[in-house]
Amino acid sequence: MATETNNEVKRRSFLKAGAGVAIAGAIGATLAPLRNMKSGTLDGFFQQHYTRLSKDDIQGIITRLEGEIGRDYGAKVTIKDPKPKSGVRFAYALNLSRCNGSRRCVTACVQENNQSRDPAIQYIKVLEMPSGTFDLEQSDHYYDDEQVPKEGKYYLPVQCQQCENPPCTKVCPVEATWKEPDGVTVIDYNWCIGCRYCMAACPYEARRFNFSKPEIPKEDINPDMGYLSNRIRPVGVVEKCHFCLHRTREGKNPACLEVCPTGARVFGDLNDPESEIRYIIKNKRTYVLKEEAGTVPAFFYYFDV
Amino acid sequence: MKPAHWVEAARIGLACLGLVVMLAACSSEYPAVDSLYAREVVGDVFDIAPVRGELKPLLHRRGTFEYKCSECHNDFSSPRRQNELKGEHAEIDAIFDHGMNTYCVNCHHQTDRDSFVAHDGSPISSDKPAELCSKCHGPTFRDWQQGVHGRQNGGWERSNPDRKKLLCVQCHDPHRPKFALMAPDSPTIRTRFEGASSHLAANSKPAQAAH
Repeated sequence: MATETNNEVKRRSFLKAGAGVAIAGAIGATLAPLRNMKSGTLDGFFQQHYTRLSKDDIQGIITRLEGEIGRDYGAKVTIKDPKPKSGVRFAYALNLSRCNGSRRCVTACVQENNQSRDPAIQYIKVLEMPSGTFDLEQSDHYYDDEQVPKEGKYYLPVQCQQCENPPCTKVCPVEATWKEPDGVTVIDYNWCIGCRYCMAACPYEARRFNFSKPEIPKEDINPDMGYLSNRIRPVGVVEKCHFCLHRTREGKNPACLEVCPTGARVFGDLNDPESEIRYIIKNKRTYVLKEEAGTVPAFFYYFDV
Repeated sequence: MKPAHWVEAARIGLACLGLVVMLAACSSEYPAVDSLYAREVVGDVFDIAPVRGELKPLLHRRGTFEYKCSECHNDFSSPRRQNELKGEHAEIDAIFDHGMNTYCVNCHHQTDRDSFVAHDGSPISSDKPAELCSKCHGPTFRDWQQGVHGRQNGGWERSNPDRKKLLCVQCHDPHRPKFALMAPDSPTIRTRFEGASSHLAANSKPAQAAH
């Protein structure tokens, strides 16, 4: 009798076994997206927040990311992680009397910062403004004239203003974006969950979202990358201008300044009283965009002569 | 309760987990570095050439030939108060637009033909255009000296020896100093929804223009 019951499948034991299989299946299904994560591994899945990483952690992550870019894009790249220089505070000034709306800065930025070519992502928006007004609602950033500047217009390039009091970092639910000591607001692309709250909070429309995996031909990839700046972003994260910090933290100029055909752009250290940026703030009538928003931008606009 | 069933269930669960981990681990194999495309970048990935290129020596160019100004002007002089250019210099006359400054010898030296001229009549070397332009454009020259007018390539640190200020003539044509019109690069790409439908794309623009 006892042997008979042993071989029989009882209702209770059947249910228990079934529940076991269901639980195991559920765990499997929960982890299933990992299989489809083209840019991810378990290491990437369990990666910590940037500020909690040791030097060795970062080195390991960089090696992994370089491998992933090699696998996904077929390009050999180097990722660095330059740290902010002590005592330096970056600021930008732009002479609106000089800017001629040629969009050379936009092109250079895309080339330097490995933005997706399709769908196209651009950090700088050049607004064509009617002369005599600061009303941004009258602007047009789709202008496509044969020749610029056009009569009766002036051009207002807008990118991340690197605010002293940034609204975008406050709304981030996971603290994936924060302000560095040199004044640059950065994003940990591996920590961003893609909720886009920061995009809604930014009064300057400076942030962009990667709706699909960035597409860049391998010949166009800039192999000189920074961890917090121009490395190729994964799908589903937010990105924005970072004052080219992989360049500027090594003493170079941002790409948009280097190419500006009219020399409208000036970049420098706000803490250095002899710097060009301080000369402009001292001697020109500078203003900031949407001052009333209380964001205290580090991006100064001015007109002269 | 029969332990055998639990063990079985656990086994299946573990197998599922193992499968997932295996699949995830598979993707961590990266191609060999040698097989990858290595882009060679000299300097920057973008073009920083100034609008008018490098500073050219003060020469008269005719086809492939180059002449020093003195080669002709030492043999025959031109009237001091002439502001109409003929013959060899007709092409300058065609584009010339420098406001009130219409006399050649306001900038070019009357006798030392390969140089420019200072207020006191002394020559200014032709490779120092800023010194010449500063005769009239004082505030602009001051800003240029400060590194605020015109582009300064090379870096933001004042101690950087690679910093280079562009010279006046690398952006401005001295005979027509107003900055030339340029063709802009392509506009900010609209979202794919706007791009896909001409109806939407056509609608968004008049809305802007209506203001």
